Amino acid sequence: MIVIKSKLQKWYFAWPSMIGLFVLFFLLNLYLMGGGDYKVPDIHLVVSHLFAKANDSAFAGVNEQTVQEIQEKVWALLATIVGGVALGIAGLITQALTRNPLADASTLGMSQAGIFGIVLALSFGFTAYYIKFMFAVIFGVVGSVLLLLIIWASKNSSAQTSKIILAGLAIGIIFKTITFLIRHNDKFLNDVSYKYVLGGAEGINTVIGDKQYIILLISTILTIVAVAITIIISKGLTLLELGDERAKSLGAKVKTLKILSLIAIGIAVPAAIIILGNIAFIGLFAVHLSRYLFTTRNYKKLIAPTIITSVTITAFGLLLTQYIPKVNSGLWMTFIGAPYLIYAGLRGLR
Amino acid sequence: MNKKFSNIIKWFALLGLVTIMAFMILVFYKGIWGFAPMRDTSALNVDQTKYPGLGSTAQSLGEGTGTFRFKQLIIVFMGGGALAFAGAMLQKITRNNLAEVSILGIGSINILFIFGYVFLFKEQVFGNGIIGMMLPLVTLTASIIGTTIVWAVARSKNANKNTFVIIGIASQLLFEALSVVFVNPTKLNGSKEGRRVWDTIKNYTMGQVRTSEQHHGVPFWLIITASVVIGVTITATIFLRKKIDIYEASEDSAKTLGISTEKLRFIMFFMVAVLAGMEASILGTVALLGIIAPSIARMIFRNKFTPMAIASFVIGGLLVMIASFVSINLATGLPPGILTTAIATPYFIFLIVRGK
Repeated sequence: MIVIKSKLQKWYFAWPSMIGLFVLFFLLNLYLMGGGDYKVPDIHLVVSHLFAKANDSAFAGVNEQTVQEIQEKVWALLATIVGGVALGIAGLITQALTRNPLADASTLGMSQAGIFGIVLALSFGFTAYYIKFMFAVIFGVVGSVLLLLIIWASKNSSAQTSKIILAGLAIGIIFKTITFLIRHNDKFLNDVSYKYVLGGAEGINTVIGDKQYIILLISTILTIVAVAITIIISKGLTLLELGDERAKSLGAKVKTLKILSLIAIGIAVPAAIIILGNIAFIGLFAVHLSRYLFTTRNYKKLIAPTIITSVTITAFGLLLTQYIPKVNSGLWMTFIGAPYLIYAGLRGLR
Repeated sequence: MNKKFSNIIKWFALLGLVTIMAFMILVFYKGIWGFAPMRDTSALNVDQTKYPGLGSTAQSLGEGTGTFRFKQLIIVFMGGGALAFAGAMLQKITRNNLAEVSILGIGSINILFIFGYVFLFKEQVFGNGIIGMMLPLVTLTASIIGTTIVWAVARSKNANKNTFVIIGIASQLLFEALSVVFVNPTKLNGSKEGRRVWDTIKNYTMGQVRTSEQHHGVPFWLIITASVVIGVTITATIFLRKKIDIYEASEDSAKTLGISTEKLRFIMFFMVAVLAGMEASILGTVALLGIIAPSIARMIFRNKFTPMAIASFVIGGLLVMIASFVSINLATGLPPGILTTAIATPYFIFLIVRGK
């Protein structure tokens, strides 16, 4: 009885605190957008013309540069939120699929593979957003196929959990190295690749071009699709954690489930990295935190908490970047996530 | 075939390869096989606006080909060898064939310290003053800190083989991020001095061979000192060979035979720190070399310490020699460190898959 009570308490504590934190970070982010003099931007102006260009007639009489600056910052905030949702969902599904608590788009090398795809597309001179999307998807798939091959090839099933992560990290290192090997003749493209490798929406919005809101829109739609798929398969994911055989005997269609989860990951990861670049460890950290705070392993119940947690974390990262612009949010995430990975590793991969 | 005889043949083949490679590095220039000639600076002079950070090797050509190539040879052979030998030793102590200096984060701490040092003292680091003289001591301190962390983790009981490596990679990612913060290129690129600092730091992280003194190259006295220290350390290790082999087989039997294991572990970790520190001061990061070289050596000479470790020294040196030869003579401009990593990572994955 006491256990249930404390669990309930935790649940009731977690929701308001997480939502409160998120709203706080969101508002602080908006507040800081006014620049150094802490002016609140004219939200109405920005939101009502979100999809318009800065030189539209709607902005007649307003300082063009200010509008553009604020638009870029609003874009960064929205992108961070959408990307956070996508990465959190991707982390949730990968952890269920690999039955591995350390799995995440970045620890399994999928993010790095996608980034490599984007940089490769840029090196061919393809700057159109849909081609970047395509390359990100293709290479994300290549990365996960590589990983599947490695898992399949390693016959020794003992220590499987750590082996998957090790192989994933190695794939990540490979793609990181070859991304580094690609050099452009064009200084602007070099800059774009660098921003993608470093990660962080606030860097990418300066190099993404005037199609930024279309990209954000596509990413949002893809993320919603991924979330929808996750909600549909969430019951199966809970069963899948028990093992293939037991899930089958409990009535789950394991094959369909796996294909659907792979599709969801394949949608969510490119959607996130095209607007956020290489942001690591969010899926890992957010899922762990929401499991701890919301005391559940039921995947259906975990979806909403994961989303709110990862969004809070990414918004926090962006906020830190607004305060200390020298360190971009991709790096902040590494500062939070890498020590956590070390800690989780030390705890013996529970 | 007699085992001893076949071993002699293997050693001859290995040393022969090293000699050929050394000969190629020393001799090849101008016109042979159409490789980009060493003295023709136009072929190697990388446009700094297009490839920021590259071309420091090429700029050093004014110094005279002979000296340049001789220094390059010593740096790559001793640096690569030291890394591989340190890797072999770490694998023996931790009984983990995936242990290595760069993977366990020791290399990253080294780079971080060099970053800080170069960032603090800028030009003076490569002068002949006291600050320049201190650089190897800085890297040595960093290595000692790094190995101490590894030593502490190795003592923890619930760290299994793979988690050990995962922790290492995670800390490497962390240090990488820290390093980027340390030297924000966008801040530095503005001034000429900032550009030079950034170049230097980039050279260290990518294992670029730097030889000319006026372009922040490694000074000759440092090359010689580091080589001598590396040589002495390796020679000293040979005296411990039997103890190390017994220790690797089992800690209990080592204790039964009267070996003070705690002391042995301490000495070995210290030697790894010395090797890694000296390597970092002359060459920089060559990730995963310490895994690939000992595992090739183990394939050829089995797991007995002396032949395995010395062969990994030679193979490590050879691999970096080949990478640096390709990097300079094919005018790719790619640093040997990156080239070696690109080759070594697939092999690393193969090792994980094989699960040994």
